[in-house]
Amino acid sequence: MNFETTQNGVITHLLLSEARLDAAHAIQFKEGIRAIADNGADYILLDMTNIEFMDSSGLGALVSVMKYMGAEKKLEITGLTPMVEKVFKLTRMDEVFRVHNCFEDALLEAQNMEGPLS
Amino acid sequence: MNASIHRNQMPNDQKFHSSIMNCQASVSVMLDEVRKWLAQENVCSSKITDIQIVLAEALNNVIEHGFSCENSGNVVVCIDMQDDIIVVEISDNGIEFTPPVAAQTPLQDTCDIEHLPEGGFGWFLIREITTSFTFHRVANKNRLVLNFQ
Repeated sequence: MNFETTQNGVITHLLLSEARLDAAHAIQFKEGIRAIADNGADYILLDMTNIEFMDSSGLGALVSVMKYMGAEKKLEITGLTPMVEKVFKLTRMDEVFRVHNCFEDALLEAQNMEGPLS
Repeated sequence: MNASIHRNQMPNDQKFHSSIMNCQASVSVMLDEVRKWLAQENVCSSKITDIQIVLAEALNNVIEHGFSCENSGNVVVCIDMQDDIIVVEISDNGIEFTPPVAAQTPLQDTCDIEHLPEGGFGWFLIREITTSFTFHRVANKNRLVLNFQ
């Protein structure tokens, strides 16, 4: 599972480079994100713009990673393609995950939050 | 020749037939093949997406649970268009299988993050998206028939 990470303030923007998040990639995906969280990322914004296909194993991997992040760290999502959005809605995962319309939205929100908190 | 008149709109060649060995890597190959065929048959993109989601779950299920070792079995996918219904049939020569009866969503209202389910979404998606499906065990083969309207 290849991805590119860019640090933007508090946000670790993680762009998945593959076209599929499925049973064949789920374990690699989990291990990759856990490693980034272990390296100190407190707020991962997962960019799924390139993911054209996700199955239930991919969805399970997302849930697993969110649990791993725990209550103190954040895993949020952006860039849902129509197929991925459909799976999110059917399984009601769109209510569980914070989904941003775009990376800029998430960044703006984080900047607004940072002020009073720091 | 009433039968042939009846079939005028749906000629016999409007069928898809392909098979894979039971290994994880071949699932995406089959899905691609099916997607291209459906597009060529002018099936709309949202229906293609539906079929891709369901077929992926059904194939993953066979590959994960149907055989004791990889590349030891055969999984066949057939698609037939009957008027406005698309019938997808998956058959395999693996271990006898019965689909789970429960149709509830894996995600419950009271779920907190720690107790979120990481599995059980596969059959839920199959039930949600298909119009109906049937399962038979015939001549040592599992046969899952998925209908999309």
